[in-house]
Amino acid sequence: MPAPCVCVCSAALLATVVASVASEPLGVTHTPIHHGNDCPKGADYRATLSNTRGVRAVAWDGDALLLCVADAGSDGGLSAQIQRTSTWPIDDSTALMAADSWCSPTVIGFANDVAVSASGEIAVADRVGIIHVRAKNATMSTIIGEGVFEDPVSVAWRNDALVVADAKLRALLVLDHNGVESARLGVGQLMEPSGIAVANDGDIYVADRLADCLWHFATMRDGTVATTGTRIGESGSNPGQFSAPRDVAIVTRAGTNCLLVADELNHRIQVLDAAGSFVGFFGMHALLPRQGEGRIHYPVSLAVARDGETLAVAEAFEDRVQLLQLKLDADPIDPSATSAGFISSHFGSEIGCGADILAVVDCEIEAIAICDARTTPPIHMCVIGGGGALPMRFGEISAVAVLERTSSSAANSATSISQGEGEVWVADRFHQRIDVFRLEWDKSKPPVFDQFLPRLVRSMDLEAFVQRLSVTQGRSPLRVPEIVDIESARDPSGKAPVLLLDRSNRALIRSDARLNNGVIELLPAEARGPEECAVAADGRIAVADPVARRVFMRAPDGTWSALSALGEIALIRPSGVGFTADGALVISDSARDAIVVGSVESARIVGERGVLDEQFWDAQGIASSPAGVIVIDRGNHRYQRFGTQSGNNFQWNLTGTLGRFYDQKRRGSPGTALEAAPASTAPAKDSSS
Amino acid sequence: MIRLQQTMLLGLTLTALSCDETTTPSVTPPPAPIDVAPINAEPRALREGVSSDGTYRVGWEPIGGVIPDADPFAVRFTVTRSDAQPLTDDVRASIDAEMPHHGHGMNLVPTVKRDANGSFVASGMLLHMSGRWVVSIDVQEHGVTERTQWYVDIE
Repeated sequence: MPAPCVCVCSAALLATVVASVASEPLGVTHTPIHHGNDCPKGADYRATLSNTRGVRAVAWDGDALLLCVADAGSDGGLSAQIQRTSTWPIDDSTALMAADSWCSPTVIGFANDVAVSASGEIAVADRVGIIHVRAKNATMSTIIGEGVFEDPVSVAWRNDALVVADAKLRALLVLDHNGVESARLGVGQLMEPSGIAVANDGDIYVADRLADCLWHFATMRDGTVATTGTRIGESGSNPGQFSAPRDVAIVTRAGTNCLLVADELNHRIQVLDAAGSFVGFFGMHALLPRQGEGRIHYPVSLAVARDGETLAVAEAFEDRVQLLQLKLDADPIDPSATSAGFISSHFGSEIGCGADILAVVDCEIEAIAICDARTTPPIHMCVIGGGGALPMRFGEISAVAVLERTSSSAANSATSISQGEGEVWVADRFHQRIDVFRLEWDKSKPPVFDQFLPRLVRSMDLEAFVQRLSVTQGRSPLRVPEIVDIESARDPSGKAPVLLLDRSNRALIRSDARLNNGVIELLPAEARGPEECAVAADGRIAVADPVARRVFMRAPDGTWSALSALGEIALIRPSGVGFTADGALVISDSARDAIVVGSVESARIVGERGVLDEQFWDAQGIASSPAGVIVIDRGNHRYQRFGTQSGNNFQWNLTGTLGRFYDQKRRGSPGTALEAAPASTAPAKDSSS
Repeated sequence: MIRLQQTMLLGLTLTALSCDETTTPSVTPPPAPIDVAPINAEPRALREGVSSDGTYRVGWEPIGGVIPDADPFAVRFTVTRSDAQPLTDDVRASIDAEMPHHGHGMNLVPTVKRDANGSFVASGMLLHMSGRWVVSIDVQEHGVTERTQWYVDIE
């Protein structure tokens, strides 16, 4: 999932802050590494536009702010995906309204980004693979780029031309008004281009989320742009380093350009000069969820108003846009940023469980936390991975699963490597490979935290794998698979025990355990961004697609159907899917902050937005365990477990993070009477949220 | 290196947090793993093992017979298939070492060359501190990598 991981406080940030203030008393103004220019180094808080559900991008249209709100209308009755502010200046009470009929959900599938030209034209990057262009004051838009784009994530104007970043093509495409491509930039350089900024001189800057850097494409003497970019920055959390930069904006000071970068996983806005040298940062860091008021949590989009002073920062994770006033002076460092008590787990959206092993992703350090799933609470036993390039190190974890042991060769059994039967499968979308691990785990002994437990079994290259795939229908050539979920295929023959969900080809792949051979089956044509799949005991397969807003169901006979609702409950952003032991569907809807449980005929909602037990803040991946269905509650930095069966059995029974667990509801949680868990007797401990 | 340090920090933090739980996991040093390649408490020349998925038999020895303490050294290693078939032409091999409990690897990146008789020579190995290391040799064919690993205790 391109969306960010969960964080209250990253160890890296903490280390940075501690290092920065080590020689200063807390609360004093820090001295930035500064090259003497006039770029802003701080910002004062001005206002918040709240309840902007899942806001992904912002742009200024004169004095009005345009917002991409793909999840608008969380009741299922979707309203306009592009909204605009009604008044200037903007304050907390400023109302939002639909930009116009041209941006209704029937026109725009999933608004990724919006850009406004100097002449008032508006372009919208639509994740379904097109760009909408609307002339100033027009009521209709035109579509360009159909069949050209794979995943247009951002758009910008360069005079009359459009510059589009395509995350799957890994390039910037320059197009004219008719959609005719005139140049392709950064081919072979960009890993995952994200937000774009175009300077007054025509130079193009793009944030590269996976490569943790910016790329600068300079204007040539003939007015065209260099097709090869210059890299700015590197991976990390120190000044001038980035962790998943998502967007870049430009302000001009004293005739020179200053770059503002939404440094998403470092939770800050970094400022660079035009040469890419570090100037300062501000906004770091929302240690307390929903902290706001100038503290920034997962910034994804930036826009500078025409006054050159007002900066809009979109925070999709917090469903808000903050308005900040840029200033020359640096901000004081927030003393709370040094509190070690805030260290917590940072779950990604993926989870796997099987063979007594629970595996959850800590996406800020690119590692898998392994727990003993037999116990309540699950005991944390080891960490697999960490950032790096070699096998057993990860670039970006996109899927994790625990499968029954898949190898049975005589030579293999002779090694007697594992005391357990489970294998942990980890897909790495950055390095385009799948690593498989076993644990040297003696289950007869009490669990210990032991970093020697995991052992790499094999590492499989997906680029080599794609050459060996055969296609049951349709598309050629295939792209290198981007594996976003892994499941047991429940293949009775044992020849194809693994089921892979491939977002790149929008397909399911059945494979043997060493990816020697595989068969790819394309998902229905309306699939857009499949995120998670599940296999029922009866052979049904469910695929959650939050972009298409559907759950696709494959019957055992191979026929597909699409669910836009479960029972009477519309699916807004289905991000995870699973089955209960009795075959009912469980769907996490991250836009509803809830899970939906039931069948096509009838279903019910479990949960609501909140921080208590049986409440969610961005419900994500789902896994089945012997003790119940586990749902990642990403925004609350935890998972919650429910019963194994549908109906009345589907009750909350555990909330867990790494190291802290609750199996008795906290006071105030839904369905819990106050007297049921008095503070003096409740064994539950306070959450780190 | 930063992320490696983060991994270590996480592990330490989680261990500490776990101590507060009703079911208290042990934080004593872990027992020796069962039925794995032998721990090398004493300097020894040839170490042999089978890759984790069983495809290869791998042996290695430090050139000169001993692993020096905090000095660079070279190793020679051999790879054969368990099914006695020859290795393919595109076979690639690499060697690495890390300290899982400390969350770091070597400070040097070894280089591997294949000599005329088919064995591999890695130079630039350095186990720079005392404690338990994991030495691993990765063999890759047709896009699938398998790892063989050994524990090496440096006094």
